Amino acid sequence: MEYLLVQILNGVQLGLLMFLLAAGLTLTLGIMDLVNLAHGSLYMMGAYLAWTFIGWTDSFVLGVLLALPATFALGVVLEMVVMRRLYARTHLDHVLATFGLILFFNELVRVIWGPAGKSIAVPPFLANTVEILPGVPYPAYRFALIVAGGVVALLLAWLVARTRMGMLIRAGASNRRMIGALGVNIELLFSLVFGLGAVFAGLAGTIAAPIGSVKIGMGDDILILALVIIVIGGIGSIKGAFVAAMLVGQIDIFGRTYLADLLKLFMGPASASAAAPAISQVLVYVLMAGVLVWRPTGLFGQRS
Amino acid sequence: MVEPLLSTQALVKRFGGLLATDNVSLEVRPGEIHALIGPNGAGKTTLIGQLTGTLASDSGTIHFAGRDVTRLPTHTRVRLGLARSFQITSVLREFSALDNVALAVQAHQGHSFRFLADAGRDERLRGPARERLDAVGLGARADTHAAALSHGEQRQLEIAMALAGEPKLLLLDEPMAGMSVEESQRMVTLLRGLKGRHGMLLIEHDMDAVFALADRITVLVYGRVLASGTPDEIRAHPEVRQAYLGEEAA
Amino acid sequence: MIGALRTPRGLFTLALLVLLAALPLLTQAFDQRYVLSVGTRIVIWSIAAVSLNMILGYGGLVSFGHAAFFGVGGYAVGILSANGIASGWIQWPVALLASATWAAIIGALSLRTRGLYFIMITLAFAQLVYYVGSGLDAYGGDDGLNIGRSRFNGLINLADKASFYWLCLVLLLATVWFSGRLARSRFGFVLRGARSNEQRMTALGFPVFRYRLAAFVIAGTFGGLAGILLANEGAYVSPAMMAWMKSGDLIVIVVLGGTATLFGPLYGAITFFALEGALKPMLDLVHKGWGEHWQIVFGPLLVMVALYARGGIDSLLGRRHG
Repeated sequence: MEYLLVQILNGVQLGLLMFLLAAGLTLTLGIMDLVNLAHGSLYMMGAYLAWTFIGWTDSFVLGVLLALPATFALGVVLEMVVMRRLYARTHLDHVLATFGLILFFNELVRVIWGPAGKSIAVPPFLANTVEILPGVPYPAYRFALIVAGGVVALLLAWLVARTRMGMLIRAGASNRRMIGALGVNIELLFSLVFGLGAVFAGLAGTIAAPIGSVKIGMGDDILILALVIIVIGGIGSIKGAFVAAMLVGQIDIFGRTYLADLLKLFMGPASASAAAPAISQVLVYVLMAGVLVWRPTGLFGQRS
Repeated sequence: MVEPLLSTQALVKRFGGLLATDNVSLEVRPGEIHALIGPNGAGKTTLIGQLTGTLASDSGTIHFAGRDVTRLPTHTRVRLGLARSFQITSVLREFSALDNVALAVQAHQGHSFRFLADAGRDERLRGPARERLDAVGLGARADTHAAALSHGEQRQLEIAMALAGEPKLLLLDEPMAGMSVEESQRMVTLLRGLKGRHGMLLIEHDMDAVFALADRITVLVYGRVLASGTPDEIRAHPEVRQAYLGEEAA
Repeated sequence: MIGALRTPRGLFTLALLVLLAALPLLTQAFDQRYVLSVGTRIVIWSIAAVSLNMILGYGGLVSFGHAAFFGVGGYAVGILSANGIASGWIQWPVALLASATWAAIIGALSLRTRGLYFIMITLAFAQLVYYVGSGLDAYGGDDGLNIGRSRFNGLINLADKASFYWLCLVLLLATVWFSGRLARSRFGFVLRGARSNEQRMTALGFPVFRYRLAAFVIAGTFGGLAGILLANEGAYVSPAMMAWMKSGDLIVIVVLGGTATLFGPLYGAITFFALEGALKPMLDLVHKGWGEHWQIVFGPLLVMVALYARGGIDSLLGRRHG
């Protein structure tokens, strides 16, 4: 029972991380109709920048706080230099250009930080455990992730639901031409939204680092997962991204833990441990295929 | 009494709470031009969508050429002889005028699962396609890219494509939209020449064209049939005058 | 045909084909065996790119999972080989059939979606194959699987580099020929018409879905052929051959060469591999050691291609007719 609770929490934590990554992506897709494969590169850049700043300041919190404006700036620059020229183009051009950006950023990291991976240590004040229930310890850092992720998710929900910028974002996601008619400075709005997405991606990369690692290409595979989440949730829908991220988080953890145990009944323990993560990944894609066959524009997507 | 070519019985389409098509029953007889008029938002385009099969009807039936086609997909209805032109010009812009019509001809020669023979030199496609282009007066523009044709010419091309399969019924969705007076007149002459060979359901805002061409007229308001009859009957209909023609005249 | 040779494109293509045909002789004469294996890979990737071009170029469907067919074709050969079935007469038809079947399944599901959803679902299915491959513990899992090359009763020895290269080249030419005929056939007209205006094609009475599905299956089968060849080239299969970045590479190749053109995918593949080969020494010339970071130049180059070179390399050879 306690084991189950811990695993569910792990799933929530993964889901929240994925949501941070997917939120920015679904906004840029919904509003700018931009397929940005390089979103995973921002996730990676966030983590590397944080690693550097943590080294300079000798403080996890300060490092993360410095990395956020840095990724924001990076996102805005990227939007102004490249992305803005892509909006009017086809999806194929988006794929090609942002694929090129992935290669660029992966290599840039190799040049600046070298080929070896980095690690960010769990900050000392979060290195112990907390009791989520009497007698059930849970790593404090992971718990902090859930809290932080939840707060950011709420913040984003508030931003989109309650602010003027959010109103424009929602209007833009459902009808791009309309925001132009409202007399809004679209260029500025797009830059801001893109920068915001970059911050969320960078934040996700940074806070995931202590439980994973900081390495070249770390954003490439997770980007695909984020895209899958967006597609399941429906392009442009923050709510959809959240629901889908939570689903995927649970499926992934389920696959890694229970599936392995289940498979051990049929095959050797070594094969079972090897096959389970692969199968859990497969489950995620099966979920997506199922959703799209059922609703071709995702759970909360706009019907065309 | 001639068997109607197309008839709908109590056709309904809802979009959420909105009744876009409200119990519409109408008939088009073979060879006649039946005009469908009504103010913007009356549900004309929705009805066309239901007739062609791009929109599923919530209830009611559609019979075409003696068959119940209510649940048949678009391409099957086209095979049966139900062709349409689009409100917004919808030709294949990257193809030549001749290629456009050749594709339309091809659509009516059974399936196109032929992978090797050069369709660009296939006289069974090119021959009939040239005839149709001549019929709408575009013979000289055969090799021009559709994107390079004038607006009026593109609408003529639309008609040529719709004619490709010798359809029994043409659904013409605002064929005169955006045309100059001169272009409109040319289109009226063209359509009049086709009358008798093809039945037509004509949706059009140009009342001069409608009254010049139509054998019968149905007036649609808020998704409902307000009146149906000959042009003279419609002209004399008090509610129509009030609800629609009066507006137009003002 | 003769007339086409008078155009710059015709001459260029002819010269290129002569060069490709003579490559094994040249590499032997200059003792550059490595170049031949690069050449073989270029030819195999060209086959995959030509097949992707059938759906992406002529069909206008941005399939982001084409590398999966490398995997399906390759693993079909690999698994049969690992189970003692070495005959190419069995391996190849089975692998092609497996590729076609897989294409039919994912095509039937993916083609219900449009635009970005299509891009994503094809990518996701490719990832699915990738993870199945890496989960196949009995066949090497993540590490891949060493296999014996397909045997054809002594008719051709695939282990002989030159013979294998020529076989690949002949298959490439056959694929290009087929794709050219396909594009101009009745089927091809429907496919290209649906790219231009799907709604109109449906209104004309074409069941667009079926044509696209057929195109997807054809493209997948040729993609599987490339997978078969790739497996035989290195006598090795691994999940890495179908990583999503490989699908990205294939798209890059097709766009680089010129979408919906006959030889564009071939130009694209040559350019793609040549850039890799050329950027390294060029950068090393500028500053020793920079060569290994060639992608820092290549990446922005792709951005430039997307932004400013829409017709790809093919458009540099003059306007196409028809």
